[in-house]
Amino acid sequence: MPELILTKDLDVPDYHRLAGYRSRGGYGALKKALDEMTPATVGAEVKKASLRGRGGAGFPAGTKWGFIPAQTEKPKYLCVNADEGEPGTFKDKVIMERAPHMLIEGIILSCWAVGIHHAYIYIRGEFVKARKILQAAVDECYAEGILGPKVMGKEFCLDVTVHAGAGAYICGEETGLIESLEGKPGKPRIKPPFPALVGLFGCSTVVNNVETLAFVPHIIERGADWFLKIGSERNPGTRLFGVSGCVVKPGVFELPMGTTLREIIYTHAGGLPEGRTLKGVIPGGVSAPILTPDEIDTKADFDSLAAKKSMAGSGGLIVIDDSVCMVRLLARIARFFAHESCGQCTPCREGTDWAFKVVSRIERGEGQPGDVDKLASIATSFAGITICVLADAAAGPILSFVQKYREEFDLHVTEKRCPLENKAPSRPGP
Amino acid sequence: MPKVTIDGREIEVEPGTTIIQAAARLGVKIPHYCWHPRLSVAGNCRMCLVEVEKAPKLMTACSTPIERDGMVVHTRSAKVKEAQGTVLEFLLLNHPLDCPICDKAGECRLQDLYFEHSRRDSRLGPDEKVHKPKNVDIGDHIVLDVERCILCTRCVRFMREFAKDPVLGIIERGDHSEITIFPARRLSSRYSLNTTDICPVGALTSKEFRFAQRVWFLKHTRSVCPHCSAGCPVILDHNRGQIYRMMPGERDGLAVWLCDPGRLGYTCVNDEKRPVAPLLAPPEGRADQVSTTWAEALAAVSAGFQEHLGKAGPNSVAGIFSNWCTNEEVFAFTRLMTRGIGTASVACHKPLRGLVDSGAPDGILIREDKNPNTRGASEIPTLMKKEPKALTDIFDGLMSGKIKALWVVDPDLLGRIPEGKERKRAQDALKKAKLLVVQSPFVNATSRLADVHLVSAPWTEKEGTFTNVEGLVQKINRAHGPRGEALPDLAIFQRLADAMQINVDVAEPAHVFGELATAVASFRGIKYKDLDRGHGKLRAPDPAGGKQPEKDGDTKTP
Ligand SMILES: Cc1cc2nc3c(=O)[nH]c(=O)nc-3n(C[C@H](O)[C@H](O)[C@H](O)COP(=O)(O)O)c2cc1C
Ligand code: SF4
Ligand code: SF4
Ligand code: FES
Repeated sequence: MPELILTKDLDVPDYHRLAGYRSRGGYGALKKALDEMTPATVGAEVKKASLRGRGGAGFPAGTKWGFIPAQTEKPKYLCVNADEGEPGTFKDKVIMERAPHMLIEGIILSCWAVGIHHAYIYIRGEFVKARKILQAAVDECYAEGILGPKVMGKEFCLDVTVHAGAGAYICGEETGLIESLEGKPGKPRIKPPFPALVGLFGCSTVVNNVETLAFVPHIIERGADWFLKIGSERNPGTRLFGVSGCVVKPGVFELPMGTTLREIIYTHAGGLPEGRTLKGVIPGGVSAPILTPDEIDTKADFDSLAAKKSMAGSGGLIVIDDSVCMVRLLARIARFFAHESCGQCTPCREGTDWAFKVVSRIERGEGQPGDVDKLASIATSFAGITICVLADAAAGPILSFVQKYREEFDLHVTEKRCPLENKAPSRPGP
Repeated sequence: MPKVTIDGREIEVEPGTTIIQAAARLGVKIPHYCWHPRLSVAGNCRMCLVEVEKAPKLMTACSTPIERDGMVVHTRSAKVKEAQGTVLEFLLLNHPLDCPICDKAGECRLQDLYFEHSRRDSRLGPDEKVHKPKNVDIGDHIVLDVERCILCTRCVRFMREFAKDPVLGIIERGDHSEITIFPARRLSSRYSLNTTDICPVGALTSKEFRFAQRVWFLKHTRSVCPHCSAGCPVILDHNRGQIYRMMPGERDGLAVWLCDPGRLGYTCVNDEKRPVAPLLAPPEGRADQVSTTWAEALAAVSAGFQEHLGKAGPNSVAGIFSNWCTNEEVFAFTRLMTRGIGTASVACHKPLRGLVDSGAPDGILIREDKNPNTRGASEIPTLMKKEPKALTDIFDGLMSGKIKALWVVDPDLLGRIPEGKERKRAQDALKKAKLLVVQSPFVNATSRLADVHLVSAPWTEKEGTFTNVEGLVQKINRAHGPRGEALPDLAIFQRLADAMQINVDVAEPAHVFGELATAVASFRGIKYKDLDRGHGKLRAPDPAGGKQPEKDGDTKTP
């Protein structure tokens, strides 16, 4: 069994509470850092570990922290991205519900390293249970002096605020998140300036994903060199893979980065049900372009999947078998993006819904000759020219589905029905 | 300073200048919707995409600053043109086909840019457009068509940043996004009509202009808003002797904002009841004035003046001019009175009240003084031989009988004096005059007292200059007319002088301005024909050290 980092102790009773977490050495890394290290050495260790952001883009956390000016007149902030909105993704929830103190310890270490005195955890509104657990953990920390005016008795003050979102995927985009935290509609900002210079309330801000931060205590406790030995080249460490769809044992699996998709699906997620064959895998949440069965020996890490013109994204694998109509699935995905577009940029606002209308028409058996090409051309034109990358995320699935399952799309148009079923195709569900 | 090359031409700019600003300086136009030189950058329409060498993606010219030296920008490459076509296709996707009945047609940026940069065929297919509310009454002057909105947020930013009354916003997401007004609020700002100018499409239209006229029939005449001392440059849009609207003019190459009351202040010149010929009251009473010819009217005035001059001396004929007179009229009138007629009984009526009440000053545009030329009317006579008297001296003179005849050049002398004792006193004094001559474009309480009403052309039907509160000398131009037999004030002065055989040459504003520029220090060096080149290009030296108009952009507002 590969080494577990984040999930090793999840079965310890009361691990989500301070006592349970401490019983396994919890807050030891923080103590070590406060006693033996300086903020700079904590930052340096994380940088050396090449900890890549687990929120989607895989940007190295240490480098991102380095963009924050050392001396600022205004305060600096940390925004913890706990919005987990990408369909097919459900791994941050596991950390927040079962190891909230690991996240808090990571937050404190990161804030100490960067010189931040207030962190906001922006948690997806639908995560009611996770929010309650997380808030209870934060309260415990205040009661025990782990948070507050003197963190663990040291001259370092830190406040952590848990803030619930109101149900918008776009509030997971870092500047949408910041706008939302400020009480405005979650519409992403033009970058530059990046949050590191102008972020929350106009101040220098770090935005990191929950899972990214949960690794920090482990890196501090055991050292960057240990971390670098796990995973694949330039993609160190483990990662929480959320596997859903047509597998026998869906769930969250912690595996070294660079584990192949095949191993994740067949060894860990129990493979496909009897009699089904694999038709495709979405490797990193619905934004990630789909891979076909002959591509599943690809390593599930940032660089290997990028080389396959897909992406590791949020680590959410969606497994699709031969019972699934690709047109119908794409219609469902297209609907998601059209619904979640914040609507400020012309191409994304208009294009995502147009694409949805065209693909649903094809799905209903009402497609017209040329519609499949039109669908692809709409996606090509709205990608790459917007404020945030939601539009690109929406284009990825459309272009990859049409390219890789073209025949199925064409059959819907020529036969005016879904070839997978004996009946005329129906509308995708709500 | 960093250098940037745009379409092969190099220019040096201040660091932080955006590509769109630098391009404008080179005369390169980059199509845009959401960007506006006087508002913050939103970057949402994506119309201004340009290719920047070494950048992985197309960049928005409105939001990309030039920070490093040697940036190379292409605004017409194949990639750029493709993106422009794409953005236009998306903008038109859910846009209603209202053009035939849309007031913006003919000056709509969506129409214009589509014609200039796309002309692609529609690929919409059988899909329904997204429908949104139409014909929503959101303010005293504004109707909103939500469906036509392209969500550029210009109006939202204008209300927040300039009008300081943020009542507009966008709700919902995706292609259901809608421009809307805050619950239970109205677009009641005194600056609301500017939103109809900056709205690139026909989403925000003015109630006053809706369905009044197709824009391509309109003729445009540069002028100055006369309704407060700010003297905002305007464009009179007119056709067949009617003013249809007043649009913002330019100052320092940039379109200005206007206040609603000022902008709508043209309605009185369109008034059908405006007199179109001089009016003469029968000798026995002033009640029933009747239309007459200029010859008769002027003969009556001339005879009357001469009679009193002969009997009671020069000071028995008095004149009142006002802060509604152009600089040339002030100069001509004061000269005619003091040198031609030889009277010392000349006063200037310059109250704060004007013809339109735009309300309390707000530190934005609106000034307390609601008149166009208080500064000019004060500056010019102080340099004459005989300084004007106070208005009360004239009234006292009338009451005591020393003044027999009075010539009032003011659109509404009594109406601009506060109601109550003061106005009553003025009214009593006017009634005492043996001969009251009122020169005004309008019929009102003052003109009704007149023995002779010399019907003059309003500011839209004549030419001249006003000096605004900041000392800026600006030209008003004749849009059309004058209506009927009405005459510009200078022409009336000339004709009366001729009738009285006084040798002056005051009929032509250009000529009078020339004399003015020689005689009066604050006009020295200004050439009349230069004033046509643009609003506010020339300004008089400013003894009061008033604020200069802001200079914050470099291109014309679309
Ligand atoms: C449309 C959109 C949605 C996103 N949603 C999330 C999200 O739910 N959670 C998350 O951690 N990152 C999300 N991201 C990525 C964030 O913008 C950001 O890159 C990330 O939070 C950075 O954290 P990391 O560097 O630790 O990965 C999203 C990005 C986009 C464009
Ligand atoms: S790309 Fe889409 S989601 Fe992102 S800012 Fe633009 S409209 Fe909003
Ligand atoms: S109403 Fe006009 S100005 Fe306002 S957002 Fe819509 S298109 Fe832009
Ligand atoms: S003008 Fe630049 S994005 Fe609208």
